[in-house]
Amino acid sequence: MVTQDPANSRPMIGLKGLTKAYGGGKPALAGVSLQIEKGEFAVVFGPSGVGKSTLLRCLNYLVTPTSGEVVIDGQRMGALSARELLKVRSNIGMIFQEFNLINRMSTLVNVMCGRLHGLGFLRALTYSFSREDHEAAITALNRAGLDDEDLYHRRVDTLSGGQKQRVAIARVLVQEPRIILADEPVASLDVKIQHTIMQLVADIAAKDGITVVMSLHQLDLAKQYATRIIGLSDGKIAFDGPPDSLSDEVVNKVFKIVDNKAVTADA
Amino acid sequence: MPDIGVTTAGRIRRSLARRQKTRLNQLLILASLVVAGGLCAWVTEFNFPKLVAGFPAIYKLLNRMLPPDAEILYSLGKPTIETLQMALLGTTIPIFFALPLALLSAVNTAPSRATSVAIRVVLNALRTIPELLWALLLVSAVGLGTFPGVIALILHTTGGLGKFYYEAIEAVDPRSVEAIRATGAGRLKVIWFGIIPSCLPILMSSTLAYWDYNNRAATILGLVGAGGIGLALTHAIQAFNYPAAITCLIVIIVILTVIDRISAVLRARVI
Repeated sequence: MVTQDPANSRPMIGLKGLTKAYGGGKPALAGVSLQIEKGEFAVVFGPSGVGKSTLLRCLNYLVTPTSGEVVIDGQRMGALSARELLKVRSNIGMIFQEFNLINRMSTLVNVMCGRLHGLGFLRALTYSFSREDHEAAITALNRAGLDDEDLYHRRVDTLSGGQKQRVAIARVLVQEPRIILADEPVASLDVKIQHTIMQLVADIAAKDGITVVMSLHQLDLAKQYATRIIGLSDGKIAFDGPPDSLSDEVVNKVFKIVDNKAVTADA
Repeated sequence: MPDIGVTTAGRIRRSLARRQKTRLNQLLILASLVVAGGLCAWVTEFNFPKLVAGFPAIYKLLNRMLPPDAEILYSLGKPTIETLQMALLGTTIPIFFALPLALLSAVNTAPSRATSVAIRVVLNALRTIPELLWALLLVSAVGLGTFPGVIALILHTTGGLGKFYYEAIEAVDPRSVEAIRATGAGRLKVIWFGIIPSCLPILMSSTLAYWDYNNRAATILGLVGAGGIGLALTHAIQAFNYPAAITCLIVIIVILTVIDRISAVLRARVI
């Protein structure tokens, strides 16, 4: 084990001066500092291209920050060895707008991919998951609301959008994560399923004490399900507070809307 | 209102002018193709009347070939099987070289840019040298027979399959790869679960295409002494035994047609 802070009060996620610049351009993130406590459901919103996806990917180090610090449950991500990083990452589940499943594999195998971190070399080589992996996957699928056994052995590209996101959530569940990162998880779904998926994530997070960080465009959904809302503008935090303090004024400020009209290029 | 009318008229005028310009470009391209074709024919001394003048000689040759010599069919069994075996080995063995090399050279799996470039140069060299030339070099190195033929096919096919493979690997959707990385899977597991399943149909169909190609290549390898039915054909031609040569050709055509069908059916199934 790496350095573990004994203090129980340490935040689940701590960011200090997090900066990420791609190439030589304007940084996507310019010095973001914040703390997210265990069990919080934080929604990040802001205009497209403002660095929400980059922020999420810095949390599990899929994207390496240019500077600044990411501390997950007391562990400084930048100081970990490659092996330790994979271990920490295996405790952080991630879901995506486009679900990002492996289309040519079955539902069940896609879910079991969530347990790749602990899978032995020979088992991985021969694509053979253990009995425990199957148990975990089927339990997770049931919990994610897919209890139709016919779907388990079908290729995932034959599933509907809502079903695919349920499979992706099951893949996260078998990781037994402490944190779930969700990158616009409902943007490709219809309004009814949006609520179902949001409810599902909120229920799982509340029951298992999982911390959620989600980027989201639908502010009504954010207000309904989140416990905390963070607005990003120009790579910096422009708002941070509870859902009921999110006023139109704040939204206008984050999106740089003047006089209730978005500042857009003249037609 | 009149404002919109003027704008629309302008748009129509510009659109028509653009169409005319496209037409002109098309005509120019056609004209340059005709000129280039004529130039090539002139330089290569392509001469249609000369070809027509050769028809009687071709007719005479065909006459000497017919009827095919059915007697030699029995002796063609072994070289035919040899040819098929060369093609099969020459396609399956390169898979084990081409896949690792492709993974080391595809930009989304290569450990570094330098490795990627270096391996591409090697694959390119292997592929650029035709298998016939490889066979010629190898026959002088290890002697006559099917062995240099198989090695020649392996070298050329490794280069060709390697290129097909790395292109297939690079075409894999990076989003599903990212999802596998996000589970905490290491590099090899990401390749094995996030990349290979997604590009498997292309890997298989390009391998089958190469198998198809190698059956043809294996027949021609006999010309430089690398065994198989090509060798039987070469012997027949050198001995001016044209009825035997035409029998070899018929066998080759029949076998290749059958293989072509098998390969087409298999490829349709993997895609």
